[in-house]
Amino acid sequence: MKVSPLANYFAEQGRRLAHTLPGSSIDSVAQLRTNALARFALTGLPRMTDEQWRYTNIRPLERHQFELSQSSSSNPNGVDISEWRLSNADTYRAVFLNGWFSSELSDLVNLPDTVSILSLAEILESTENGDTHTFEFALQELQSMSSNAEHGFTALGAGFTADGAVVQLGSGVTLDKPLEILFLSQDDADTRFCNVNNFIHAGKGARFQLIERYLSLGNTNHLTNSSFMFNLEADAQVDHYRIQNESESAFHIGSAKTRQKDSSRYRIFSISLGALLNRHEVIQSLDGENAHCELKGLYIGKGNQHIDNYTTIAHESADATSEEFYKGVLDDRARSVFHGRIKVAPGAQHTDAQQQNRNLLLSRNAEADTKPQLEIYADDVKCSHGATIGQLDESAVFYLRSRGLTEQQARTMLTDAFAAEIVNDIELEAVRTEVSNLVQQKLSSDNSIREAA
Amino acid sequence: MLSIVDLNVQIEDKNILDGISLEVAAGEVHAVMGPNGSGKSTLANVITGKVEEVARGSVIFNGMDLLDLDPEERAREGIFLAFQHPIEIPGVNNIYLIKAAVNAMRKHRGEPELDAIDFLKVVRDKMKLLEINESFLYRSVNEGFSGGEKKRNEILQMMMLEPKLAVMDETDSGLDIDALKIVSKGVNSLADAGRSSIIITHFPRILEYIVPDHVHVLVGGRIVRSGDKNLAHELEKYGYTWVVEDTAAAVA
Repeated sequence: MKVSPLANYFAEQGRRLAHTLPGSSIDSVAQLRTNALARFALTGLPRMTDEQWRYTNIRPLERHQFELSQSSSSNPNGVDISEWRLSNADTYRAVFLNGWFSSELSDLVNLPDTVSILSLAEILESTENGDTHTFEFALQELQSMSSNAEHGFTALGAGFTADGAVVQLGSGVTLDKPLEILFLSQDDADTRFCNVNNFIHAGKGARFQLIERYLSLGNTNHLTNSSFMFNLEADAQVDHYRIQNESESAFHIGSAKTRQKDSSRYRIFSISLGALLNRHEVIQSLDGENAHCELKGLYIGKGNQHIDNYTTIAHESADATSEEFYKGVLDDRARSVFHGRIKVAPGAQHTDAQQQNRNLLLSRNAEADTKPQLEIYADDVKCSHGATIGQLDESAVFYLRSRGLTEQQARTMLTDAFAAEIVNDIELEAVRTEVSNLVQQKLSSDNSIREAA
Repeated sequence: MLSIVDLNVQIEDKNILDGISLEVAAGEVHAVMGPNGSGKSTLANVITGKVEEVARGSVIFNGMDLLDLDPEERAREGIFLAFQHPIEIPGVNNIYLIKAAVNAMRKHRGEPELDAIDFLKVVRDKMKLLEINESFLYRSVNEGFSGGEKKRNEILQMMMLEPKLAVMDETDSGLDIDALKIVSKGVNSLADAGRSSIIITHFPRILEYIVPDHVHVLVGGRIVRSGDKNLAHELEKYGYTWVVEDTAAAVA
């Protein structure tokens, strides 16, 4: 198979940098990277001929020579974190600057003993006198990531293993405050490549809220390749809020991959606002009976943005339920892709799976592609899916104008209302307020109506 | 207040309105009656700006050429349409719309916006009159409303916006007698020497509660007969065929 010049470039860079990366002197870590890079060299980067990437062309990436960002001191440019952290929220906070953990910007004091939040780079560097249990956990997750890589970006992610958050919650723990993981990309260089791998283990009955945020400090064209892998033991509950609001010149590839045991619950809000090219994958495996997951998403595209949400929910056991609801607003020449795969394994009786995707096109040149894909191998199941692509209801626009609102105000009100259906479901108030503000900023062509009402 | 002269509307080469002239003075209530497809709703939609295919004629409102104004400008000048089929707007709270509309009008008149407490007080008073439950305010506009609730919601909006000219397009259709009385009470509460209304209807019944000064019968895009409130009673007795035949006989 012919491998693209960009893939060759990354493979070569990976080999060149391998000895500089955390844990490179440890055989198992070095071997992991070598294997992942070898896999990457074989598969290359995804192409549009791959069914899972049919509507997403990553060629724009090839115009840039992305360089893995180097770890440096904890806060080299004096970033003021108060400007960037989630406002009005009391959280535990782990901050990654250009893909590397910054202890100076983080706030993880007073964590309960039963919870650990560590930097992957530190774990890989400190095995000799460190916590072998955590090292083994991280290594095992990295190996699983590498050997189950769905595509080149995952293999690349393992091959460039650098930093990320490793979170472990003991059985029965309820974390008293949300954990905010903030990924900041600085504006002092272009073509930075930030590669982060995050592993989260929630013990039996553990509960916590996670806020995953991506921000760029300037209009740079960096590449973020970020993966999250969750393991939820029985009865664990995770609420996951993800806000991707990077620079509109950036490239962003992200994923959340979760395995759920009996009666566990995982809920995610995936909010995609930034990046020129954005792909977010949510891959659920409902391994245990009675497991429940909810995937909600909101994406807003303007200009030339391309937003791809790829989701898979595998019902592997009986009595599990899933709800999926993604909405998107597309203006200008923006494009979106929604792929919703639901697989019901043989024997996964009483599965209840619901999926909906709704798209609002505000411009003639915007485009939405939506692709539900149901594979059902059990007979006693309830599965439903629906997808719509439409425009604002002109009779509603007239109705509002007949009440004295200008045409622009009417359109703003109706578009806000479309997005609000997802935003209003966000339970965590600080996140809901933040998302609501970001969405309004992004959609704002006329703020007067929001002020008047 | 409103002066319509020789109004002709053509849609896809069809004459929908064929030379309508109508004078509505301040304080007057006019009823426009007629069978299905006679052009009644088109007349309402020309006044409010939904229908733009005016081939000939003029519509002057308080000295302004209405046909030059956008729908929102007409609304801000005091024209209100109670829709025959009110639109459902998922995700927009009723109270949010009403407040935005009231404040858009106030801003246009150079008045300060109503604060939240004053606004609530006013809207609650009107809701009481219309026997509307408070939960109404926090539901999405018309979404899942029954036919009767939708019509009451139109009248609630009308009462909040206090238009100079209210056009009610079949507000009575789908209402039972109790609801009709309540809605009429709302409409009548606005009546004063400075406000006018045009009531479009098939049925004379609503005119027992909202008594018109003038009744016009619209058939085939023309006003074939005008009279006082007694014309409505005759229509009830003899039906539209009578007017049509009677008119034809007179012309012949």
